[in-house]
Amino acid sequence: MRAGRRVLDIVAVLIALVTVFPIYWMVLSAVKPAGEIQSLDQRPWTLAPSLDAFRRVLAVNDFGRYLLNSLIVALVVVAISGLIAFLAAVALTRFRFRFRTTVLVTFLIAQMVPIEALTIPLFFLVRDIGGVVPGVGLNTLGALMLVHTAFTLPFAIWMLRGFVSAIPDELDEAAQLDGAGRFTVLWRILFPLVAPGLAAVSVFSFIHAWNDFLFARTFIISEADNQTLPMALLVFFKPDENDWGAIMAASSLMTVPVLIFFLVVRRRLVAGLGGRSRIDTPTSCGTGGARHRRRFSGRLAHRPGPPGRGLPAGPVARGRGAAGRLRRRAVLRPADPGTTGVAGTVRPHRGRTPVRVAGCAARRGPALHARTRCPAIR
Amino acid sequence: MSRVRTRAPLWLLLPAAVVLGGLFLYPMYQLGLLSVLDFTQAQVSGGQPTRFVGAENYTRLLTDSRFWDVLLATVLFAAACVLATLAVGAGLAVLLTRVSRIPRLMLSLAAMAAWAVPAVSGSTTWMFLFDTDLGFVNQLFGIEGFNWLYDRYTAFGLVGAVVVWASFPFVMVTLYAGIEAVPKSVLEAAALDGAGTWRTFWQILVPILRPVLAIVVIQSIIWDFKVFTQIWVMTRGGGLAGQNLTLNVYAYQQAFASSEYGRGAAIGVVMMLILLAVTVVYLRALRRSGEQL
Repeated sequence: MRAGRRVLDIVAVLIALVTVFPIYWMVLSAVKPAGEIQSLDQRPWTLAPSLDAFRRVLAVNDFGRYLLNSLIVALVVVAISGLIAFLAAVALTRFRFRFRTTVLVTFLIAQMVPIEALTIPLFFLVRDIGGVVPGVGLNTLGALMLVHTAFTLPFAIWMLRGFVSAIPDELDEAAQLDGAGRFTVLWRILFPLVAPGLAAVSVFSFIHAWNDFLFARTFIISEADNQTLPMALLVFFKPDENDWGAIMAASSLMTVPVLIFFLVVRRRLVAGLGGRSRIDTPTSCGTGGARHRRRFSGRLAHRPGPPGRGLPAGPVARGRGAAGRLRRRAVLRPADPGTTGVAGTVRPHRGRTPVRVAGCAARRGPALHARTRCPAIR
Repeated sequence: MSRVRTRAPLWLLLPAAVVLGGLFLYPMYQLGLLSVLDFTQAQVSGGQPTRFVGAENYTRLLTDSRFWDVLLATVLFAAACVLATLAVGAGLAVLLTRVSRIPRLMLSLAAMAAWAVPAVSGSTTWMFLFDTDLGFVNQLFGIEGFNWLYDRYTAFGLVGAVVVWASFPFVMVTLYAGIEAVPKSVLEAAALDGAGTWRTFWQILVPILRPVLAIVVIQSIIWDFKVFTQIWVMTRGGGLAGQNLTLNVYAYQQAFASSEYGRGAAIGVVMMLILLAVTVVYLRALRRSGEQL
């Protein structure tokens, strides 16, 4: 058993190394001196790292400008699509209306549409818009912002929906009882609570816009100043001889920011995927999405439970300001004093994984997971 | 917020509806429209009037052996990528459950890193790794003067490797979360009854994880069917004499390289119909897994 595990450990480490090797090779080749890059005897290390390739890329080819272009497009897309998606997600989770399911299915289908096929009509659309609105025609960054906002939207809505519905209705109701208008509820209550989810969605939108090659290639035809990274990178491919040092340096410049971003928020990404591919389906993966969401959505420490089963299901009071006060009130309202300190397992609701509800966790503070905080209720 | 009848959801949905209507629905309608028009460079520049040709674009497409060749290549390529992605992803998900903490962390970090790499820079890096003379792989194995991208099958293989490398992490992470959520008691019971790893996997995990598996499979099909960037970058837009074209790249090429916009749109419509069929299966899988919208 022990030996078997040791073997598996070694296999896992080897696979990890193989997986990460191309990335290592990319960064390594970017800092290799020119002589070593052109060598017929490539070595997986370098003793004389040089920033020549980066200098070539940034100075000669004005790569800084393309980096900035990519960044601007991605940030604008993140902001606009996040905002629109938040509004739509609230509408889809907080209200019951006719065609609600239809709208949801439409968003799901929209994710599946091969956007590559839409390049042809979009090309003409953008060309025509450009005739009317100068900022968003062909060869402009505005055109890229426009299409990426649209293409990140269905997924953003689908994913945010999960985060919004994790916020208990009692909060809204408490706020409304206190006389808060709909707008106040939206911005002062829901928005701060969804912020962590919004961050996760933002990463996806950012990466989508940052990585895009297709539309950059299609829309930015002649205006070299408005190119974004992926297209600019291909400049170094030459018919006679590719400048591999520069290609790898440019690739590194494009990859490393995303890589850091991704690794920092990776847990939240996995949690967020629950909103899209429904990892938290009753049968199985649910806890993956739901647990992570609960654990990493920061201030929101809501333990869902079925209504009317005796145990309080609500958020844990926390936070300062209006939202915090309301949150505390929301907890106090439904709770019955006797439940404080009571720990138990809520029976599965519609086949969901049992959720542990711990009174003691609620008293001590929500940031810790009930199970880690209160070993007694295991 | 209230559950009473109100117009509030309409206002909240309005911005999304405007954006999606303008940039999704309208272009989809336009795509359909273009596919029944004779629309080439002459019509774009206004030199000739646009002509309605009915199903001509489609009939020409369906009688074109090139189209069938590309369609077949697309389906086989996507199928191979999906199978490889699933095999690697599922295998590593099971592996993750059986290793110690440090190797598990290393493997999941490595997978996350591969997941994060943009398609363009991933492609360029693999191209350099497999370069004819300067590539590390050729030098390591002493292969001299072999260009991986000249042969149709090795080129597809290489592109497929990049696609799998970038997409197995999603499968791995999702399935790992799923396996972790399977009650330990079930696995212990299986072990007590003498089931080995292989049998536990096929007869316990796979049935329990079926809904998640269905979603992962279909998501992979959709992604791998639409591969564009890797093919475009690595094979320079479809390979020598278009030997590495897939439907997506073919449509793009027809439209923007040959200025046969109507024809490109028709290919786009065919692709959309195929993916729509897959999506319907996806939705049914979601419904069967008890998903409540």
